[in-house]
Amino acid sequence: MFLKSWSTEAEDRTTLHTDWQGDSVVQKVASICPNTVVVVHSSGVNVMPWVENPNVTAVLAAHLPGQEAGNSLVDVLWGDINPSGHLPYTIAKKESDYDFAPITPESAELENTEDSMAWQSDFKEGVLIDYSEL
Amino acid sequence: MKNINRTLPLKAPKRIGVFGNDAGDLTNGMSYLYFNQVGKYEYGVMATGGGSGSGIFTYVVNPLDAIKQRADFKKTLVQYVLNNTAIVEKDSP
Repeated sequence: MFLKSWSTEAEDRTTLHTDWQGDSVVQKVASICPNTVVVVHSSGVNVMPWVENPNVTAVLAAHLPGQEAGNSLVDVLWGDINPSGHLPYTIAKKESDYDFAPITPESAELENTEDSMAWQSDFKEGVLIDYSEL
Repeated sequence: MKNINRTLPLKAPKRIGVFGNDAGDLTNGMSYLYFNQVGKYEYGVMATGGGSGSGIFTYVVNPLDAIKQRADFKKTLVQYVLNNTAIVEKDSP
């Protein structure tokens, strides 16, 4: 089960969910397949509301792998390589877990906008965005 | 990030289902450069982000191809649905 989340320079993402109805797709696939392996291609941070679903038995953060995307993935899936690494940021279960890094100013209108230029973040949290900040 | 019941590594699964528009090949050319003001393509594995981090690939090995190649075709059936809308809206065995 492959999900992706597009990001680029010069504009902010409007959501931390994966693109193209990714969450619904996972729910649907997991309702049929008891062993669902979810692979996410994105720049890193996404919310995953389905992560506790018992049929989702594995989740891989594949980030942005480049031209060998498929080859490197099957090496991990079939056990040639053990995926490992330390993330400098945390991938939380839900958006409210990220409350330590507020956007300013806060307002309900800003939270629901689709305009990628509407937000301002002052990054007051600095580099303290890993799991110890939750 | 999660691996329960020793799901991974795969040994010799009899059936592999591949889902999602991020699994297959790119359909708009070998890059994530903007096309009609859109960088966010529906189909194709997202192997790079946009902007200064992107580029034109000489080749991209997408996960579906790699899985088809890796799965022994006499023992493992590889089936796939790449259209996210089709997955969400109707049932496909």
